[in-house]
Amino acid sequence: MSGRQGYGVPLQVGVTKLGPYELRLEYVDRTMFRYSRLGLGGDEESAFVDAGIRLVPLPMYPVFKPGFVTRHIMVRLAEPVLLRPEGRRVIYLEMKVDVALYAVSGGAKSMFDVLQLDDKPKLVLYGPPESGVVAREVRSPVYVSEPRPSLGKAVVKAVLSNVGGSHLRITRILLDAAPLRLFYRFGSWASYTQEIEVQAERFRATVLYRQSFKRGLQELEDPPEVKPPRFFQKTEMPWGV
Amino acid sequence: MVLQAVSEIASMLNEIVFEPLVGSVLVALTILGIGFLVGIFVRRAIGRVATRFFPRDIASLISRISYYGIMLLAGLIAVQKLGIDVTALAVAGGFAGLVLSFALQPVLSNFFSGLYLHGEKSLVPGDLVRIGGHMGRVIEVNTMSTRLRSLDGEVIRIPNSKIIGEYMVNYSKSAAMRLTFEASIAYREDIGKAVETIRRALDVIYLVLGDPPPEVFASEMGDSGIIIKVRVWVPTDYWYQASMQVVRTVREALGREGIEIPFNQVDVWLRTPLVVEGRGVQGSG
Repeated sequence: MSGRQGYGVPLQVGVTKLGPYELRLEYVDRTMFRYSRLGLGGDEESAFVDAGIRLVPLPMYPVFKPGFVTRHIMVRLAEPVLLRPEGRRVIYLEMKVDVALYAVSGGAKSMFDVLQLDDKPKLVLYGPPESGVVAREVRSPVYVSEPRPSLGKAVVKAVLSNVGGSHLRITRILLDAAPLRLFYRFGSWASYTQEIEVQAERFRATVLYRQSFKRGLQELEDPPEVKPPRFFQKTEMPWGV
Repeated sequence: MVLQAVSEIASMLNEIVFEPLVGSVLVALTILGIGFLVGIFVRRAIGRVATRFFPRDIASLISRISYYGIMLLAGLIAVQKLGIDVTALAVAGGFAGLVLSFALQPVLSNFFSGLYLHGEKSLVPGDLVRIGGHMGRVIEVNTMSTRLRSLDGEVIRIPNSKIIGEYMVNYSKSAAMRLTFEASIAYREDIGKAVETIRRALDVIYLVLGDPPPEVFASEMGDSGIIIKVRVWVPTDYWYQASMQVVRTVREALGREGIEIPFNQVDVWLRTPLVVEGRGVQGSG
């Protein structure tokens, strides 16, 4: 399919290649479309769509596919970061994101389909079984300068603060998809989270959710499962980083 | 003269009998009135506080009990002010209370168990639990009983006292639970290869947690083959789906690798030689 592609740009009639997926949108008659999605494994999903609806791709937290189990995301750093006492450093991470197709018509907007871009999704337990949380694991390289975002990866700016009096080794960051926000650049596959601050000491840490660190971005309207809370924009990591 | 005497007697009677009686009645009514006002105030206050900790029906019951308790106390004091001896009444009331408490023992037991369950928050709607052989999700925790929806879709009502009295497993109190499976491979097969095959198969099941990692090991030499034990952690709410996926995936993976899963085998040794007799069977030699 020719034409502009990217987050926020509605799918056009015809075939759209999106990562490992092939999306088809064809008129059945004047009033209905037929949407079909062909995945890498040959699995196919299809649906009839009212012709008054536009299907808009947007970045999505990697918690909905293969099934919604948790809203927590464990970002595991490919290489640990060692901080000196009272040290504060900025790193950039890549968080895997899926692509959601939102059905949009007039003022109504709802999530219609989610394209899972992580081909090997895994869940992990953070903390002990009786009081820990199950989280979706994403592995990320550590960058000291901002990497270029691409389809399926959102750039995370993380400020790491060692608030303790001894050296600190950071290997993982637990994020909550509810206070976490996703931003995208219209017409591109660039997506970002807001700035994350990890205030950590030897045995525990607090993840604080700050503001967007880029200008000119659009903010994702979160689906109900991960609507942000009004208060307490932080995630506790009582079992270490 | 006679009239004067009658009038004096009436006046004396009035002083002796009626005036104190009127006074006592007034005092008694005042006590009842104060008791009524205090009862209403306490009922509202307790109702407001109790709704924070208990469901509406239990909060309402507690506030009503406290109201009637205060009214009963006020009534007893008022009756005493009227000069009536309440000792006999108290004894009779105590006896009646004893009889009632015996009669209502199951009801009270369920009620207080319900209060305890609410206070401890050991059960909340949506929890996956096993109580007295019934497994299901909690629909509602009431004053007297708790309702579960079993995994087969039946709605089961369990008296609260039974929940307190018997042991209960609440799976939802843990984020993850461990499932254990056993697979058997033939004695001629390579244990290392089988273990590695199962590990790889488990790695692609989304609901099997990557951390804590699955444990796969040869646990015993069984009657028909080597028993491979598989222990995996899964999200508690998805244990059923996960268990189905694990069995199927492990079976398919072993089949793909050509690893034999033996049937049960029994070697029968006979004490005496076995003689097989046939009729009309012609030997070829």
